[in-house]
Amino acid sequence: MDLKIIEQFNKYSMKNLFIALTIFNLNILGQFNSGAKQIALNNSDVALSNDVFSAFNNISGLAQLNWRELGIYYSPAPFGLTELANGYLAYLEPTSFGTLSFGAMTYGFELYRESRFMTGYSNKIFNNFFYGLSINVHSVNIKNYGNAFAFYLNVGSLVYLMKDLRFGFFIDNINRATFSNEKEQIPTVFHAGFSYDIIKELAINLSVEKDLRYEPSLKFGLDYDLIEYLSIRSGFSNHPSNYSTGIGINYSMLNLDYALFSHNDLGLTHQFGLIINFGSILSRKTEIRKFLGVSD
Amino acid sequence: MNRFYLVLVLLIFSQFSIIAQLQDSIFTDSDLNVDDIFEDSFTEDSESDIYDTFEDFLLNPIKLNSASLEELASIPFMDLNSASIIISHRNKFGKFITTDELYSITQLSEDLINKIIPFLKVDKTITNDSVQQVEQKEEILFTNILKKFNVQIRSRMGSDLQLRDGYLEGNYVGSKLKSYNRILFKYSPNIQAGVITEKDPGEKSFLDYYSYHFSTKNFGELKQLVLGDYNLEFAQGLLLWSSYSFSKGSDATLPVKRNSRSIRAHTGSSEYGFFRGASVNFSLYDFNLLFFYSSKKLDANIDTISSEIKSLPLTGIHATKTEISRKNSASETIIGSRLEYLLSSSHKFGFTYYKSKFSNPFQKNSASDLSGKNFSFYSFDFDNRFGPVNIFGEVANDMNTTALYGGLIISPLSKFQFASSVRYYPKNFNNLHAFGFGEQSGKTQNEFGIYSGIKFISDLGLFNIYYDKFKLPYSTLENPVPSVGDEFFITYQKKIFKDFELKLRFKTESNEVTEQTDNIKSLTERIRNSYRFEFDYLVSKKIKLRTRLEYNTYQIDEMNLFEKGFLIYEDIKFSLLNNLTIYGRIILFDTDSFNSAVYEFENDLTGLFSNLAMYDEGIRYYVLIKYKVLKNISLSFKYAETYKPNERFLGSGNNRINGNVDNRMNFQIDINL
Repeated sequence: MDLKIIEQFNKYSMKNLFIALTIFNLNILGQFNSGAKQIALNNSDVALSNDVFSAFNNISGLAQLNWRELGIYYSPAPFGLTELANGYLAYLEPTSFGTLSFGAMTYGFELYRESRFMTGYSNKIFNNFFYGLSINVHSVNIKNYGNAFAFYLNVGSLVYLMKDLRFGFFIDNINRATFSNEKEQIPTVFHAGFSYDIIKELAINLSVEKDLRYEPSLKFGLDYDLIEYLSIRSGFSNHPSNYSTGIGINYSMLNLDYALFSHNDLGLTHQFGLIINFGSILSRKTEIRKFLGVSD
Repeated sequence: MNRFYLVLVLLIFSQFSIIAQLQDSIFTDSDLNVDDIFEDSFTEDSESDIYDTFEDFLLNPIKLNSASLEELASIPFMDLNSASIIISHRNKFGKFITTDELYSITQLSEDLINKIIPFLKVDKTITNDSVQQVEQKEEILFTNILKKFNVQIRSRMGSDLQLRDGYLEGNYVGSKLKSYNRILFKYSPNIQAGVITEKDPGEKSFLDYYSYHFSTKNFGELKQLVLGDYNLEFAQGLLLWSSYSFSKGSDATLPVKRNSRSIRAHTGSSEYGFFRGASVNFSLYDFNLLFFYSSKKLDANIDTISSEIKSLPLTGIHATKTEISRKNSASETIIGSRLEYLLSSSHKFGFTYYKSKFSNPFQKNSASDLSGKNFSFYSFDFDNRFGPVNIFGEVANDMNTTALYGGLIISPLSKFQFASSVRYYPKNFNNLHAFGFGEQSGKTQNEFGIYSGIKFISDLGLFNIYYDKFKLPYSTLENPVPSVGDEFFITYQKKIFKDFELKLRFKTESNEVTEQTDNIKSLTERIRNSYRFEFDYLVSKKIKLRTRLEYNTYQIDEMNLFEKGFLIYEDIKFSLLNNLTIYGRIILFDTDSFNSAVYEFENDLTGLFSNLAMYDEGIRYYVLIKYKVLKNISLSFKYAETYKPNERFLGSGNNRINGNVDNRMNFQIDINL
């Protein structure tokens, strides 16, 4: 009997160890970003950034929107591990002095949990230059070990080079904050890329992501509004080699997004996102063009 | 390297002198330069007879004014979207007067039109005077019969000028001559009969390979009937396909979807991948019903004691005693059927079944992973179009396991196309007649992969980009453990000035290979990069020049291996007279070994292409002359020579040449009566 308990305990702790290791190692991978649309585009959307989940990505893009938006995102079991489940909540409020955004994130399970709260500000200069920054409070809680906190700053910028061509960049954790005394527990990541509207309904995105510790990753994504109510997306990246695809259903105030993400070694992940927008009547891209005074 | 610069300078210099001499010529270039189109689109293979399919189209062009959407879409390089643009243009503005009218359709890219125009013709339509014409027709019926009758003869001879070791040591039974003869009898475009014979170098008999067929088309419900040798191409190639197709290459969206041609008479010199028997296609309402039967002898390596098949060699060469002993030593009988349902021009569904029986059972653990002698397969396929989105796929089953291929092509505008596909071929899916999209030259086994490609004609130029990642989840012949790889490819093409076109290409390929490191065999990452710079210059209507620089690297970091290869060539196409064209090319190459070989796609005799690997240090040049003696007779001649100054031998085994020159002469005559 005793032996059995020990066996079970061993099994359990081995699994936890594996999960803990996975979490630390996967922290930088794309599927731990928010937004089913962003993931369907393989996070190549640094120069697109046109929905509320940009609060966690290129925050400057939020100033492209002149309406309130609330988003909720959930990834129930990345690579089949419910322990890696993560969820995001984001809200944006356009004001006369700029766009304010608030967000929260949680991921992990009872033994290991990370949470993050953010608040951000974005604004535009002339109708073609956007900037934004956010303050993040990130906490990690490991059962029987205690808590650790970190504060860090994200900055981003987006510029319309032409009416159809955008360039954007974004830096995660610019102050290289970390948990307690361990170095580089929170990655510092640099993203830069282009986004081009071939036609109004079709945007192609190309970006480079560089984590301080890893090889640069080239990312590509395609966002196509097939019909009024339906968008399809696809993307890929190298280092690591990933493939993603997704659909979005846009009806009235609701945007329902789904993304399927495939990692070469780890397998598949499903993500779901819901965005409620208070104010945009036409399609997202049309509304933004209207707001920025970009003619078709 | 100094020598290369010298040659480069000389080459450039020589260009100028040619330009100076011949700038003021007037000549209409009607010669078809298909090789430009095909380059990169096929696997690295020398002297493949990929041309045959295209020749079918060239000889029987699609009628632009009466073709259906399906017919138009079956043209190589054509996509469904562009086909429907052509049809809607035809419906709106009436019949085409010339094929050049296509250029006026702004939605079609010039690049595409250039590629498809050789396969199209404008059919003169019978309009108001149809009654009169019928009367006239009856009068000249007899002359018409003669007029409609057409004989095409093609005879090709070629030989190495050096003697290879196989001949010196008496291992090869025949002479080094290579010959190919083909005669086709045609009556109207619908009835055709043909005989093909071929002898490879080293083979004894001039009839070592022969093929024959009789084919008829469009007789009421009978859409097609082929007796004799034929090819079958269905859906996406998971069940039945001929021995080649487009592979990953400079067109990023094209290889994702197969344009199947169902039944086709076998007119090529490929000695495998076709069937011998009868096949028939009935067209009833919205259904196509096909039946096929084949019984064919195969080359097989048979175990003398158990009389089991050890392997099926697919070279088609019978020059040595071993090769001769394998010739036709087994046979395969196939019977099958296919049902196609066309819901409308945009929705198609198909179901195929076939059963195969070998004369001898396969040895367990044979090279082809098969066992037993009876096999049966079925597959379901679909091809649906919803506006700009085309979804297609095939699901094939071998009564044991299921292989899948699914794809998506989005063409929201003709200048932009996105294509993506997923392939899943299980380890134990064994189908010898499959030829699917993938990494392993058609083999539909042990592979999972996702491909995405984009073709974009922007104001800045033409871009083709693809990314393919794949996994071989079980061991292969090369790797005892699972392996992964990926491939990224980008080309850029732009007409900088009116007669000057620039092409840039970059490709990076990462694969896992088993290598010996520190006395342990382990999986290592092999990275191959290729950089290409090319420009085409139309000096005058008579002279076209092309310069190419290519640099390849081959590296395995774990072994500290870094090899590089370099190639430069200068190519000229000189249309001396209306009926005489001269092609020439000088190639200089310098690579560290075969690993960093640079491939070079060559112009060859009509109907032939070569994609040759250039490695070590040396020079190659060739001259090709195509001369149309009379309206019905054309001759072509090619001389090619490879010289590697630092080598004492070229090649290996029976193919070894004692010396450092490898030269070859080919001659072809085409008669069209």
